[in-house]
Amino acid sequence: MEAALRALSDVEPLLRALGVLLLAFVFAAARAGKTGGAAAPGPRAFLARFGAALAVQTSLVAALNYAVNPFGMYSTHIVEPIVPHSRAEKMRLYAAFQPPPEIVVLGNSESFTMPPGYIRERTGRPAFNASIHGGVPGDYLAFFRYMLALHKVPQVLIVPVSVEVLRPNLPTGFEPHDPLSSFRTGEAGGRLGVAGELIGLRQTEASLRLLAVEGKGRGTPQYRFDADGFGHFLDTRPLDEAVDAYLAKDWAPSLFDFEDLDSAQISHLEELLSLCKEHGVRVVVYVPPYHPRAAAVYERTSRLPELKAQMLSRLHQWQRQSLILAVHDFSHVESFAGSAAMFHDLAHPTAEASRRMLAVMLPRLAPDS
Amino acid sequence: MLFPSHAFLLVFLPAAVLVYWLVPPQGGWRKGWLLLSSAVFYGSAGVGWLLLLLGMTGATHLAARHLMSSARPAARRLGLALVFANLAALAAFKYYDPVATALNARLLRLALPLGMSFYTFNLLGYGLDVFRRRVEPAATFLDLAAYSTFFPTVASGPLMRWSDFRGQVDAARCTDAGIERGIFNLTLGLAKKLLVADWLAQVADPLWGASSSLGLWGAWIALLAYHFRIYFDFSGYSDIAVGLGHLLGVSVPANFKAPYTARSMTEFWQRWHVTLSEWFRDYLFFPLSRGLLRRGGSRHPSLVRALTLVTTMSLIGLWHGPSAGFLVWGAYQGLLLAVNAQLRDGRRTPWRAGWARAATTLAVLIGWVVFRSSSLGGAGEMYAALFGARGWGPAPTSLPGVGLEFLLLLGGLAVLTNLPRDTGELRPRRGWAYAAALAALLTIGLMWIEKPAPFLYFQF
Repeated sequence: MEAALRALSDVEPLLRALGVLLLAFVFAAARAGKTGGAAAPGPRAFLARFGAALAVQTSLVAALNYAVNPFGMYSTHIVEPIVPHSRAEKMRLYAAFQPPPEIVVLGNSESFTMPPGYIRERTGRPAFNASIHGGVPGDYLAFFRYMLALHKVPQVLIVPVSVEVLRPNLPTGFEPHDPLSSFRTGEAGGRLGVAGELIGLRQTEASLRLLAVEGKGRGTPQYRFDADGFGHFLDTRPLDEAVDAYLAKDWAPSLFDFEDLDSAQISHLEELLSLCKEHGVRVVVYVPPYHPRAAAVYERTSRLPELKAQMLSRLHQWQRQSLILAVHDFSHVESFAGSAAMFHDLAHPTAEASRRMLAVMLPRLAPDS
Repeated sequence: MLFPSHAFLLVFLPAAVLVYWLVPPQGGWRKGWLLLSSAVFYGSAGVGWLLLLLGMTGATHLAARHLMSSARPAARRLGLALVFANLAALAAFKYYDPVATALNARLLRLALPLGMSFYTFNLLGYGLDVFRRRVEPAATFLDLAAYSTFFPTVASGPLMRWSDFRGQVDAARCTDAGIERGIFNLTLGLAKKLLVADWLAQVADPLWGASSSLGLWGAWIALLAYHFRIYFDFSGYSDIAVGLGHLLGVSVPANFKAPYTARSMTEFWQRWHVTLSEWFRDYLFFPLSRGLLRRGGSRHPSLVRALTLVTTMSLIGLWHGPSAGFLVWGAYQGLLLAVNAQLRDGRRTPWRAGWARAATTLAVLIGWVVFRSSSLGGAGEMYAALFGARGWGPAPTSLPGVGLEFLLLLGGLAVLTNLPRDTGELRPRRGWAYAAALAALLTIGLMWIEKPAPFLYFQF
């Protein structure tokens, strides 16, 4: 039972292996030549059988996803859906936030704990944390366009930029029906997207995982947000265990195995900076820290140092072009008087660490600076 | 709109095929619908690119229909010049900026339109055939535009001669056998691309990205993964294109004929990217050989052949892109072909099949290193690792993404690619079990559509 639930939790490798085996079978068992014997069924019989099998199989997949409804997209409600929702929630909170924020943090989960309350205390200016789960420069740009659409543009943006968000082949699409997608250019969606997703891998995986979760019992959610967007991490694992779990993930060793930063994300970032300049918004960029143990591993075994140098060179170039007000490199905890204890896991600093980073950044943001 | 996308498979393709068979074939209705479908398909990548393609088609039609059919030599020469202007346009898009960068000149910053390397060669071949009076020119612009924009092949081939295409659309009949073969090829192509090639890419790309730190194990796994990836990616695309052709009743030439079973480099090039090698053979190799032989080369025919082979293959290398790596790869292929031809002339006893196949595979693998590497320096690093200059390196299963299942995949693919037939020579079995397996393969393929990596040959 335990093994079956584990297999359901990560069905992609199994499905892929099944697909490859089917391909090998279909390829190796196919007929050579033109036709079968006189008694062999004709192509119409094959088409009927193939069509029936395809209809049954795709209907089964669609029925599973419709019934389980893992992302809460349909009217069914047999099990409680898994709905990552940071984008929708941050957009809602931002629209409701009063007075309009003058300083906004625009990043991903690495900056969830940047405390708007502390910013207000230090500067006297209303602040909001618009960081979203899995956010990358394309998302920051989309969120900024959303701010423009609301006519609620801040005076200052604080943006974390790391090599991780500038890597090629970034995993995206963390949140189904991402409402930010309407602020991106060139995105498909609509009814066709919904139909495609109903038989898609992401939803099928989520359905099976959700069934496994129902079998094993649900855990606590990972985070929740205050009205000013500040994020609370709710994972209660010991820090060392959390760091080990991250480092053990199979993607960790290959995270920085690429030659160049992703040109698409670079151009999104450049477009965001240009748009900010056009609207008189000052931008402060910082490089977020890794837990010292992880930083040491990455610096010793991966291309992170070279890639970070590439990234900083680009950021300083934009700073020289007055697109960025200041660049702060907080890769190492010493740079902001932090410590190894000031993390929730490998990549997510605590609110105390964030306050210390802000203490370095905020003097540059005094109204007369 | 990519072939492996919901928009293409669930909306565009059923609509395009259904209306294609419903409209009458006469009076240009079917061809008009085909052109409209192709324009929607290609235009979804960029309206500007579509206008460029139609413009180049219009210019070629003007040249072939009106200038080349003239009795006046000057008009015919003008027509030929207009056809070669297509090549100039391709050169401007593909080669100008890299050359300008090298010369420190002003850049045009032009993005290469999707499929331009393919449709330019189709138009150029058509123009040359009309000029040599080997084929009749297309009667109308619609005829030629339906050919040049043909949506199954416009993005990445297979290259298709006008003489093979003309008449097929008007004469096409919707048959069960055609639909059967179309679905079979389409399913196999999608599975090759989405389930195999993309998995291989996921592992191979990071390994190639870190080629300077690979040991012997890592380098060979990276090379084998790329060896299979390029075949499954490109042959998968070609299978889909051939399958789409069947759905429209148009026979599209096969691009791959079990290339990894070749027992010599000559045979490899008769099986790999067949339509491109045949194009270069007919429009460059033969005319160049004949020209050199007429100009005194007949005293040294072997030398002429070697020179022509190296020139032709170097240009095939450069067709892939303006880099030293592609040039070296092409010249290397030309040299191997020349040596192969020389040995054949010497009538040496041929190697036993197994040894010949192994030697050919090794020669192909060595070539892929310089083809795949982003620079000659990078290729040098990879060669060093492959020949053990950096030791064994980490054990295979400790490399990122390489588990036992990946090693089994490589082993399985080695067996599969050594089977004597490629997709084009296969037909589905018609029993329930086989139909259900093929349907399951398509169902899994449809699941995987959400995030396909672009086809490798889109970049060329």
